[in-house]
Amino acid sequence: MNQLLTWRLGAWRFGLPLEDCSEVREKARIHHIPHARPYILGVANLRGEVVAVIDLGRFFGSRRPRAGEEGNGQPSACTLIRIKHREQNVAVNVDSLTDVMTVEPEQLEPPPSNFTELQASLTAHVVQTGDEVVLVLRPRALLEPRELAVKLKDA
Amino acid sequence: MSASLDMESIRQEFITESRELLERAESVVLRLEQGPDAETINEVFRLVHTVKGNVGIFENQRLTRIAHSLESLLGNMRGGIRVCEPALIDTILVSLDWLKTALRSPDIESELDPDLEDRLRTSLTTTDRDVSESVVDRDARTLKSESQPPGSHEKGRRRAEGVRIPAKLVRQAEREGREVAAVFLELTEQSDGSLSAFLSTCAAARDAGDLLMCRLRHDEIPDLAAANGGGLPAVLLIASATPVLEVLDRYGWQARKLKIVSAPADRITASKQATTALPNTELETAPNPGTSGPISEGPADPPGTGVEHLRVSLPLIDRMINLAGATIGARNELMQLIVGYDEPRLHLVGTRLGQLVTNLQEEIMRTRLQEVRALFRRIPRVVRDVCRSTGKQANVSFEGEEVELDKNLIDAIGEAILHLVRNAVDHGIEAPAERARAGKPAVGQIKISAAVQNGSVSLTIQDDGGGINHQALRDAALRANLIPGAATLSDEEAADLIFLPGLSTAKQVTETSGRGVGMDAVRESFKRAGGSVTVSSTPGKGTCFQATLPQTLSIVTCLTVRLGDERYAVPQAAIDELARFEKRNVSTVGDQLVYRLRDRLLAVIDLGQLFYEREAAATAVEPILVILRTDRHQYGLVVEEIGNPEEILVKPMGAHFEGLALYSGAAVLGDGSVTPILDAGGIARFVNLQASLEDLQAAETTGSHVENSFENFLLFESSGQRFAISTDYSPRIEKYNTSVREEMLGRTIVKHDGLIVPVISPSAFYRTEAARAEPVFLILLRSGEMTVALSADVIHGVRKDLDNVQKNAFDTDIAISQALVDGRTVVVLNVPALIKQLRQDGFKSKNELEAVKS
Repeated sequence: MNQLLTWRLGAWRFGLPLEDCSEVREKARIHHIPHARPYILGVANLRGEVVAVIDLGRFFGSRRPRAGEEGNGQPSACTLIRIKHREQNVAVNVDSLTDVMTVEPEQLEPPPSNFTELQASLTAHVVQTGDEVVLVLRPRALLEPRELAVKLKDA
Repeated sequence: MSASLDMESIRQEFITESRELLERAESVVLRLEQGPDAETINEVFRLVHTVKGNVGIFENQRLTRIAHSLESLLGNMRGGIRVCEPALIDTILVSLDWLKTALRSPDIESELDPDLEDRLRTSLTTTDRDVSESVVDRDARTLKSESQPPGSHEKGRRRAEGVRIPAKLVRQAEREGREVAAVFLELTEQSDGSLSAFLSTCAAARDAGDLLMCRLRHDEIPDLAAANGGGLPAVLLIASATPVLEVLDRYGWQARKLKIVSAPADRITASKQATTALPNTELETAPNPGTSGPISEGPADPPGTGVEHLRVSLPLIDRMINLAGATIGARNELMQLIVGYDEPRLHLVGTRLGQLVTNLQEEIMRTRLQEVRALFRRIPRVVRDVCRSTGKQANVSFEGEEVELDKNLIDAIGEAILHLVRNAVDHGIEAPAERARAGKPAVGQIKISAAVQNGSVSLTIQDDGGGINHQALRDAALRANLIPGAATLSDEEAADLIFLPGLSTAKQVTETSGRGVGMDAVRESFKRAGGSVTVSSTPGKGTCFQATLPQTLSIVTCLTVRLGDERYAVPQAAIDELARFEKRNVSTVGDQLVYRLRDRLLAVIDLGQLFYEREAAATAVEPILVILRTDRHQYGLVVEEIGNPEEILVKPMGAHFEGLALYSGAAVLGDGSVTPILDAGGIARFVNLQASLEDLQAAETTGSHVENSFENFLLFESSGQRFAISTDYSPRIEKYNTSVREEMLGRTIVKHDGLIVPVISPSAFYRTEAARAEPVFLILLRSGEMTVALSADVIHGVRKDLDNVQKNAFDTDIAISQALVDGRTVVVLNVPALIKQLRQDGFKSKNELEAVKS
């Protein structure tokens, strides 16, 4: 792994190995699914496929309003990154895309000890860049809905 | 890279084809067990031969060796060196299993059953008969058959006998237009049973030119006589210008078996018909010797269909279905846009395009359909295995194997069906001794049938075993404390308990149970496939499982309902009726909202409340009540607005929505937006809706019925024309069911709530094309004392305002006006006039009918 796609969401900066990101979609319409799990923002139509959109803010603090909760029920449109891992799809919403960074293996550090178990399970590594920290996500963890739901309840 | 890809796809194709061939071989082998004959052995041989050729490409030594050994073994059976006995059949079946498993990963040397090769080798070196005796000559002009001495069958011994027929003789007979037949007979059964008398008739026949050849197996006579007390088989080859049966009559020969070798085309049927009159005589028509085909045949083609097949990969079909779904979405959107343009040609093209897209989609969906034969084929083996392990005897028969079902569904329910079959033998069919005591034949019957009804497929598994012990189930449910009032359940309800998880009666536990699929899992499989399964049983007579499934999974006609800016789809199949929601008809019973609809009470769920804690009944100008029906509930769903019915492609929502019963999937609509598909049963479970509507009825409160102040119209289509009726007549939409239809004095009627209701096809008044054979819906209307039913093919929903209303242009008062809706002309029907017309035709109202009765 040496290239990361990075983005901002709330106060955090996240990153994912480039090969796990299959698509970036701007102004995607997110459809709220009532009574879905709390970390689910909704679903989006990405190239004809129905893909669940995960709200990372839910796991790391700084929750965003769900689609349909904002204003007078106007469905929200935002930038999505589609993550594809072993034929499974999921998308995350982002505030703004930042650079594609190249990292060397020795730059990768384990997640900090003050992370909750849930946060630590989602984070493969952290990378220090300038005065900022990039959380490198573990795509597989985002595709384990049962784990996520259980851990979110515990947190 | 592309070369290696190609190689991979070729390999995949070989694997698929080989597995299919092996499955077919398995079913043929099972037939062999029933009664072996040369043709069946040949068929297995050919199938295995093709498989052997296929597996050659995998460079897996063991796979090739096993396939080769199996082929040789079958070759020996074909040549009569080995006889067909249960142990040998076992070996063959185990080999077929091994090959099937090994083909899953042909590159790996499978670690399965190391003894198998030895067993095959042993089987190969064993011979049941002197090789030199058998005449295996596949050179076109060989007629192979067996003559079977009486009594030899029980001993499992049989004599394959090759009779060589000189080609020259047959060709000559053909030239002379004579029929050539081989007649197998028993000398002891001839008129006086003496050899000399028989030989003299043979000589006479030969002189007359009727007999080409007579063969007695002299060398076998002593052996046969010892084996079965004096059977003397003989084969006669007859060539005759008159039907063979006449020749037999002429010489007084009693045939056991008759095989037509060659016949003038017009003669075959005559002989066949004549033979049916002869008891104990088998007739076979040999394939035309000149055209006997090559050893391998095409894969999976049912014989005689003459249709060419092409193997298409499933992912490709899935992509096509996705595209078809997207095309339909785009078409729907286009059609909505076109409405805005005043250009008739555009409308014409639009309509035609729409129709074409619909047809295209239907055909694409059909590519996924597969005959249930593919599923049924696996059943005989299961029955056989359970029979062997339990010592029971059962026969399985099939009906409707040609019924087609989506391949995904066949895969989804396959295990469940096999489980039911296993259960039928294991728990249903009694042991032979017990059956004898009950006065039943020792061999149990299992009947499996498939049929198409109203677009769904019904599957039935019926056994003639001991049936379900209803009391034992009630007791078990009480013991397990699963159902409080179990003791009072009816037999039917008690039988249904077998689907409960965790319920087990002591008797039911045997070694076949606990295979990982319980009855609750069976029901679950059918549910997941969008169907249901029920059981009924008569003690002592047998048990019957009946399952219903949709024919295809992916495309469903849905009505979209609106809530704020979000839309949700409701499958049309779950909708009973649409009605305007009137606040004054709402009351509360306990903590349940109920709605008074005409003379009944309905539980009501407000979708806005359920989803956004914002009542649709309050936010909408004119809320609509969508009345849904599930197995257990009927309730009304309050929504803000309803749209037009659309055909939508169902997509799975994915693992993150697992366990969320509110939705059965999602769909991508024409404008690219995503819509969850509501699951009527799931919503009822989610809000914990009371199952018993009777309770609500009992607690009925009186509500007043108030007339509407504005006009709403229900739009529908019948025989291609769109019609509208005012909702003031409380139209009630029902699925049309052929079983309630009757013809009475030249009128079509249906029985509804104990009333005779005349069915009117509105287009009949306009002499448009003849009404379609069967409508899809009935719209029940009441006006005064009359109830009538209008036939409809499509329901387009309720519209408030009709634009562009024009005066009735037709010379009939059945219509009030015409209007333009979505660019199409809609005829607004005049209900009182319709009813007047009916009465002129001599139809009486309910009151009048009662007056006549009294």
